[in-house]
Amino acid sequence: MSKSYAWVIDDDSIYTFTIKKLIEKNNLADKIDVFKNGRDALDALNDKALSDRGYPDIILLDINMPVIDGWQFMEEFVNFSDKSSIVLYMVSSSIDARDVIKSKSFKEIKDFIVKPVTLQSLKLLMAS
Amino acid sequence: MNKKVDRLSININLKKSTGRFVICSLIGTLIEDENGDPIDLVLQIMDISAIKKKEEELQAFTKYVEQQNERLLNFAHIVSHNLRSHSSNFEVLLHLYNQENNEEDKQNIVKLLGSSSTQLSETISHLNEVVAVSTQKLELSTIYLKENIFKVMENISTDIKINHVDVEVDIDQDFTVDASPAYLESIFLNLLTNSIKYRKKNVPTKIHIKAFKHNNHVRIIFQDNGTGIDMKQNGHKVFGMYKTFHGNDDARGIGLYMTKNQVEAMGGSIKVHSQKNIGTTFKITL
Repeated sequence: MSKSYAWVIDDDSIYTFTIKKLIEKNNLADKIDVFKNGRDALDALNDKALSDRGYPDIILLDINMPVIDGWQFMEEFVNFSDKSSIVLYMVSSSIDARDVIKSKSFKEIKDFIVKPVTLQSLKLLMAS
Repeated sequence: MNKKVDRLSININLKKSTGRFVICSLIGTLIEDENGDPIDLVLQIMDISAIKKKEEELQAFTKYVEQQNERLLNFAHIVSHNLRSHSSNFEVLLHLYNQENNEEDKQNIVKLLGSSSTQLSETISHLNEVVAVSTQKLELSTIYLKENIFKVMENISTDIKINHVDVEVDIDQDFTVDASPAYLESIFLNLLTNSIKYRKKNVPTKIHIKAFKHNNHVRIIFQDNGTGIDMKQNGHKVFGMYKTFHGNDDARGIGLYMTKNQVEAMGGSIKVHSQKNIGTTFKITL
C-alpha cells in the first residue's frame, strides 16, 4: 500500500479524531492534516509554501461546515491547477439524493461516501 | 350576426345593483335554421363567483400543502443527517475503544463518547422544538407589537446596555398584529440577539424596527448596521438548520431556522437582505 498524505476537512471534531486514529493505528497514511472548514483548507491549498511540503494525495471533504461548506470548497477547487494529483472524496452523513446527484456533477469528486467511515471503507479509500 | 364563431364562452365582471362586482360566465350559442343560417343567439349569464372563490381556495390550499411537503422532506433529511452523524461517531468510537490497549487512550475515547451523547441529546431537543412549532395548533391573538418588542428588550436589557446598542422602535403604541405572542417574542429575541452578536465592534450598534399595514398584512422591517452576510456566498443558507458562516464558536445555527419556522407557522413569510459590512434587514410579513 502506497504511503500518502491525507487531508480531512470537517468541522466535527469527534469524527476527525476517529479518522486520525484509524489512519494512524492502521498505518494508512504518512501524514494527516485536519481543517475545520473549507476556508482553512482553501487557504492552505493556495499557500505557496505548501508546494514545498507537497499537496495532499487524498482529501476527505465534508458537506455541512461553517464559513465555507463542501460545495463552496468544490467551486474553488475545480479551478485549482494541481488538482489532478489529488483524489477527493465527499464524506457526509447526508443520504439526501440531491447531494449524491450534485456530487456526481463534479468530475473531481471520485465518490460520495456516507458516514460512518469504518476501518474497512477507509482502507479501500486510502488504497485508491 | 355572422358565423365566424358558433359558440362563445367568456368570463366577465358584472356590476350588481348593489355596486359590487361579480365574476360571471357568459355563454353564447348560435341558433341556426334548417339551411344553416343564423337566426338567433342565446346568451346565458351565470354568476360563478362562488366557484371562482372555491377555485382560489383550492389553489391556496394546494400551495400550502406543497410548501408543507417540501418542509417535511427537508426536515426528514435534517433528522436523518443529524442523527446519523452522532450514531456514526458512536460506532467508530466504540470500534476504536475495542481496539485500544492503552488505558489513557481508552479513557480519552470514553470522554468523547460522553460528549457525543451530550451532542445527541442537544440535537434531539432542537428537533423536538422544530416538531413542536410545526405541529402544535396555534392560537393567534391580537397583540400590541410595540409592547411585545419592549418586553423582549427588557429581558435582554443587560446585553443591550453593556454593548451600547441603540434600538429604535418606530411603531405606534396602538399598532396591532394577529400573532402568537410566544412566537413573536421568540422571533424578536432571535433577531435582537443576532444583531448584537454580529455587531460591528468599531461603530455604535444601531437597530431600527418599524411596522406598517400592507395589503391586509402586517409588514415588520428589522434593520441593523452589523457585520452583514455575504448573500452571494451564504444567502441560501441563512435560514437553514445548523448553517453557520461567521465561524463564531457560539453560533449554533438554530436561531434563524426556528425563526423562519415560527413565522411560517403563523402563516407569514420572512425575507432577508444583507450586505457585508453594511448590515442586515429582515422583512417579516404576517
